[in-house]
Amino acid sequence: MENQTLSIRGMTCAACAARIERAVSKKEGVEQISVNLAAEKAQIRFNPSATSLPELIAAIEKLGYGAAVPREETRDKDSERKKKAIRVLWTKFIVSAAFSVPLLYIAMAPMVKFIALPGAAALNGVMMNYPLIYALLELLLVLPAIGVGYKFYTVGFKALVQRSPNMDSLIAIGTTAAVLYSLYNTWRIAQGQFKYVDALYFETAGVIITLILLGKSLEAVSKGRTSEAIKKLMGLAPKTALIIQNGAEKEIPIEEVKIGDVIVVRPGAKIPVDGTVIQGHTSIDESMLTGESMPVDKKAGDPVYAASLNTTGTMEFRAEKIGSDTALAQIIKLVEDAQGGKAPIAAMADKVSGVFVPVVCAIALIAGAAWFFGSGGDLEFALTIFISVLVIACPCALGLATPTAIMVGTGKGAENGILIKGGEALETAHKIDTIVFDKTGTITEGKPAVTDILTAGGGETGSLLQIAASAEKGSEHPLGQAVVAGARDRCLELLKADNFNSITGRGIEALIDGRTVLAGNRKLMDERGISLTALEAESDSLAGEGKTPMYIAIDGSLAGIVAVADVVKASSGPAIDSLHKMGIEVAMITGDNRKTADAIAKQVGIDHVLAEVLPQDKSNEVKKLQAEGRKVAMVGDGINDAPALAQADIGIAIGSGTDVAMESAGIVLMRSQLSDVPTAINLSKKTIRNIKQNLFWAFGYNVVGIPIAAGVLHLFGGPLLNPIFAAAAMSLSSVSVLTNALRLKRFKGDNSK
Amino acid sequence: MKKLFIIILGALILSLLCTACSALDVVQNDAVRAFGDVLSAHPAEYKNGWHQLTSPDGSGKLLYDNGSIWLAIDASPFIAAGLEASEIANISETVFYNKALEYSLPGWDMLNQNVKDGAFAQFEANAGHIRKNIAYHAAMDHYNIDFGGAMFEWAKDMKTNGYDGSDQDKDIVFVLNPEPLIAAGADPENVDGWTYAQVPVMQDDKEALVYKFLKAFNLQ
Repeated sequence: MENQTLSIRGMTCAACAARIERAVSKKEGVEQISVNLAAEKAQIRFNPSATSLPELIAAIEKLGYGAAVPREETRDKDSERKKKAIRVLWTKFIVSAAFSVPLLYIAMAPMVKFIALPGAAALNGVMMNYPLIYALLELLLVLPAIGVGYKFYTVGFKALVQRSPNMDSLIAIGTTAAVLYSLYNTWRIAQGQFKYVDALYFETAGVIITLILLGKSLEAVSKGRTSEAIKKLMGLAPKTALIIQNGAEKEIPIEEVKIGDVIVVRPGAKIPVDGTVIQGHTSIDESMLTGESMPVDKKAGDPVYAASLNTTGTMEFRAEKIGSDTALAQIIKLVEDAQGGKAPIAAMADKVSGVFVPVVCAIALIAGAAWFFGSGGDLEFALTIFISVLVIACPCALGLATPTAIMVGTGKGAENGILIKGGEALETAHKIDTIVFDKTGTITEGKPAVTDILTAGGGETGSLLQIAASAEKGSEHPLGQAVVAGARDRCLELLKADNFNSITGRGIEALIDGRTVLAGNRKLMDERGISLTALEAESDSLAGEGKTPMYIAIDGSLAGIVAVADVVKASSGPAIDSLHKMGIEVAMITGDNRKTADAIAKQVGIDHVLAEVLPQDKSNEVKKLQAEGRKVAMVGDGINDAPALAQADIGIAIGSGTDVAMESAGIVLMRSQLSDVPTAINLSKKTIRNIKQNLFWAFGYNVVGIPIAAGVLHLFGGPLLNPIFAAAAMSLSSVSVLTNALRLKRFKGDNSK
Repeated sequence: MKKLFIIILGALILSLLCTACSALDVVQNDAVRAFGDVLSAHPAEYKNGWHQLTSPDGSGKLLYDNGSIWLAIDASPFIAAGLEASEIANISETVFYNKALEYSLPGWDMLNQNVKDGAFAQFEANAGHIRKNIAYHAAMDHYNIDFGGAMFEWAKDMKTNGYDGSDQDKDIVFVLNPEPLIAAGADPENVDGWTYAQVPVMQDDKEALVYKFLKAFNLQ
């Protein structure tokens, strides 16, 4: 069996995806196919001895869609194509709206009797006294809309011919019937039967096309965002590597790096592939991979990862994993797979659209035929019924129900600093019952700060911090910088430091006022023979609280400890409290030791702690929670969180984190405030409720309107739905949906209360 | 944007050209045809230089030549209902002359208009000059000439001159605006031979029901 992913082009609705799935699954040798409309991809599992990839591609192309094997080098082109498609759709929508809005006004203003619309009397005069010109003017105005919407006809009728009608088919049949019937009535007007000026439905066709194009444009915008995460990930790796060949340095494209090559990385450069350090000492910023802000010291024998940043010294390493085997490539694949998978809501949409369109077509045909024979062969009456059913069932409101609510919901989210990427994220967030928070940078600030100052022998804490900060002034190490920042926060003046010396992996040494100051870890103190006995108990206690004790020695004896730790964000506690009130269980995941993790969890009221989890295992922990039947949200900020963010039902990234984490997540909190997590979930709940209301309006009109349009009430002596009222009801359903969606604008986030 | 502007402009120009094309003015063309049907059923007479289409009871007349068109209504039922003859001079759009209420449209340059032979040919020639006053009244399936204070209506189809396809026996109808006449003293409920009733019209850009004096005739 072989697995293959194909890029699919030309799909317009969920029915298209279902159609491809049906056609391909019928092919011999195809075991499984899953088509994702949003990602425009098909994942196929097939037996290569029974069928071949070209055969599968041909089967898809036969249906009228484009299919190709996705290639990495075409990703930029793919992105360009998507951007162009969005531009084209917007232009089409603008052209269609520019003609359809005046057309709608011209058609409807004379019909509105109860309020005085500007120019209604003049239009009524034209309609009554120049009916043929009025009809031709409407025809002229609808032609550009039909022109820009030609794809609905080519795709819709093709699908119909292949007995697999989709939404486009319904739009094509409905608008074609409306236009043909209007053309017939225009001919009747030309014959002197002026009353048929009331039976023109050109505006119905124009407005349907315009509204559907609007929905498609909104849809295309959200679709376009899906590929950005992958693009960002790809952009992280450098394009070239500096290798040592025959004793000389040589820059080669990254694709040419072979396993075993010795690669030189200078300060400020990115690591091109995964490998092991063979020479040199340096600090590497792996925050893009791990989300941890502190650079990690690396020496011979330590592993290094592609895309991480060498900050301080030059080093050499041996390439061990290249191409698709690097940690970065693995993460890319994980994100890609997560995005390519089908959301449950998509399956529901497939079911609805797969049934809705053929059922509506069948009802229209049956009702039309029944009335034709029932009325003794009255073709006009039967045609009126047929068009009424198709027009009232035209899925404008259905097409708008979700994108409009999502548009307003995501817009409202953006106003509150919550970037929600597309409908799927919004749809999923409201079902969440468990939230997993990454610790560093998410619950905590992600930047170390001075928390405790302890002196040995009764010295002043301010003086100790002043000396330590003065010594650390020249240090680039985050701990040193935290000490300097701590002194500045307390308005302490820094003293002049001489003979500054950074001791990699240990600390620093400097001369202040003629006194030798050492600041660093226990290893440094042990090597210099400085006794730590005076503060041993306090040091252990600080470590137990998850803090890093930095020992300060002056002229060979311990002066005190400055403790540094990553502090909990002010917004973390209240946010977790809000989530508890919403009935959501909160967990924390971290690579830190159990003691530190528990200390943080206790401070903010976390229910469940997942400690000592390796970065690559984070997504597995999420998977385990999902296996328990939970709907899991993952909140994180590092690239190491990306697979977990993608694995979770919904990924929530902190805005201050890495670009990749943000792109991999469905929701990004721009203000990095955890209080935005409950706000995002609330917004999701409100938006989903709004979408459901919209669907109720959209379907409600159909459920009520279709039987009336089919003449059920007329059968029992009740009224008959004239196509003009069918069109008005159809438009009204769209207006109801839009108005309802706009109600979401009243949403207020927790922070704005 | 430039392309869009060109398309919109093109569509507008095309629609203006269509408007200008008289062949597309089906209402005028059919109104003339229907008027011909009325003349066939109830011929006009040519008297004193005017083609005169007179109602069967002689109470109303449509008169026209090659430079003007007007309506003359016998004023005696209105005077009997209280209309003060001396007040009529103050009534706008109405002239009282020779015991008749007269309503006319502005005349046109008759020097360039040849006199046509026959009432139908003359009306056909005149139709273009009074086009803006000719309208189709859908509710009645009638055409009409609006004189401002009065209207003359004729059936689009004398056999089925109701919008619902029924024969309403209203082949021609004289319609008068009641307000000026009431203001001059006429009691609307007591005008003999005239119906005082509400009819739907477009007023201030919306449909409204207004009172009119109506007098209809079956010509068949």
